[in-house]
Amino acid sequence: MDDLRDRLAELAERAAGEARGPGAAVTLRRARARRRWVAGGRVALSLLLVLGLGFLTSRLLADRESPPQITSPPPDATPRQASPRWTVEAAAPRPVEPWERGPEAAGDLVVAATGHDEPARVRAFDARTGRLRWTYRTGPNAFVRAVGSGLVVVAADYGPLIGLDLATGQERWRFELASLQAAEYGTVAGDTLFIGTSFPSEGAVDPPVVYALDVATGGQRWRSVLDRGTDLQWAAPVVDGGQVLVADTLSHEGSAPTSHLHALDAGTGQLRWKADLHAGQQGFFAEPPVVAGGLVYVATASRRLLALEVDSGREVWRARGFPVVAGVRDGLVIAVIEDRLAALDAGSGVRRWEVPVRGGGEHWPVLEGDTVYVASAGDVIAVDATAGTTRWRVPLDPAVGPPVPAGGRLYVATRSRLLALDASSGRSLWTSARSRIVKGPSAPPDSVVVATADGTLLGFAP
Amino acid sequence: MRDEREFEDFYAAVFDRLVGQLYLVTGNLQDAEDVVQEALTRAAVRWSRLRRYRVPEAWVRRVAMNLASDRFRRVRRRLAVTVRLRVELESRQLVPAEVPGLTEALCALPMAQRKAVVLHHLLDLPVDQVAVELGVPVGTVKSRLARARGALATLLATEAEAGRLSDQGGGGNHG
Repeated sequence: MDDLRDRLAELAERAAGEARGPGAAVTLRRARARRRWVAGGRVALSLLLVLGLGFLTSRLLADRESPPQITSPPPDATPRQASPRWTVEAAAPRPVEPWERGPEAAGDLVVAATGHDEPARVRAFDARTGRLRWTYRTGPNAFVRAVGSGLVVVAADYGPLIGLDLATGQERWRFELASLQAAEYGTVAGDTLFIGTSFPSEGAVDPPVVYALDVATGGQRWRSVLDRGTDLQWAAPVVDGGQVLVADTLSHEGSAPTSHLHALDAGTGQLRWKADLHAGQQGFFAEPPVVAGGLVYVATASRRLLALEVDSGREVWRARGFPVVAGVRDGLVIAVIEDRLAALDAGSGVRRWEVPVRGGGEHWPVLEGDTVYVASAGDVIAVDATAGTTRWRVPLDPAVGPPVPAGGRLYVATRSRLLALDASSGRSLWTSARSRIVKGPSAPPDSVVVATADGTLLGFAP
Repeated sequence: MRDEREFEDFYAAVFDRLVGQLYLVTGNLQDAEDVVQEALTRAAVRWSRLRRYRVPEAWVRRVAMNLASDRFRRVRRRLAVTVRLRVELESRQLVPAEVPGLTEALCALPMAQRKAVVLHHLLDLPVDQVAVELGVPVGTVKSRLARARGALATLLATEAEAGRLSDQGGGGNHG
């Protein structure tokens, strides 16, 4: 083993020789910034303990942990350059991974988790003012997994599922998972949380498990074990027509013969059917299956769009190319397939019209009424969803998320700015100042929220 | 200020070395730099306390190794064929010529085994100390080391065999 030691040492030395770091000075600056944060909390704690006001203590401590910096718009702000109405630092994950969600809009709140941070927190802010409503500490990681029915479900990468009261942040329940069992995103439907879990860690061979939990108590209603050698896709389960749809993909190359779309009975968890996705390779993506008109449309890792009967899983048609489905309207499935926005006959898959879209990056199509908007790597376009004619096109930097139509406006977050466009004409109504936006926008009532690369949330007036 | 100067000296003394060690665990130079940097930032926050430790470097290494595990899920998924995103990711590797096959052989081991190998075979920590560092029983460490040694021997022998064949012109499927 001396030989092994020597070879390890040689490799480690070579890696050390190529190491590049920001240096001690930068590290100390970062540490000072973190210390100020901690120190602020401690000062507050001491003062409040002296006062002995229990209720007030917890309330004010929460405020002290993350003092939102509310920025009022200048009275003479021009409509072309909008300032954020409020700014909250260190509230969102940094950096954000492709499968990690941004801030979630829930009623008049914005819920954000700090992701892979220490200590990690989930916080709820008033969407209009940015005021901190509550904070929940989770440990070294924090992710929001589902929101709905007055509940926020949070989990660390390998932690239990924790149900929080949306209004207060109080822990309602906790659902333990096995070692190495990781929660994916969940869907709250009525009084039930449907959530999948995988065992993505190295060496783990256990199959994914889907749970149905009571929203009020966290009690397990059922669990359904899927196929060995697979992990669940990133999308949350789709609940429709009394069944729960979840897609899987291979854990690694060769771990399973193919991947499937599973339809589970929402009441019992029993498998109703499962459809072969004809994908013998691994591929993760975040697009959920879309159900409409008795069919379910699902993307596969083998770069296909499949149309399946929602009652049986029988394949009706398939189309080539990786699709991002915007929606279904008037018998047309509208999707970006590779570098085309296309409308396919919902029953047969035949293309009715198509419009080229900018290639070379991600596409974010959204169907709203009779218009489909597509944000791409260089522009955003509005297309008549029936005729396939382009209504307007606006050049812009690559988008970081789907555009959000609301109140006659279209909000688009690019890597450098948030823009508000007139939805009917594409005319620019306002833009934010330059910043490194990574997630958004989310648009609760009266506010448009984006997250930047350093974890800051920015809230804008619509 | 004295604390800060002391931390600067500590940083300069350990950064490269720790990146070298963590490279053996992560198999990627960028990841090794990232976790060491984050661990050192956390050390800087607690430096007034850590500086009194007998070996502050051990604390930083433990944090960095935990961070490496924590990132594993993300890295694994990043390396997956991300159909939708078509992500192309930087993977800074060393030029393999000088240490043939070792990086690949290490990467073929589960991370838990890689950690045990680095602590025991590179840093010469006794098995019971490795158990403390990793927070697992001594028997688990012995088992991980035995499995790792067996796997490395097989993998490196295969590499060497392949190299010999290649030197003899046995790889001839080129045109």
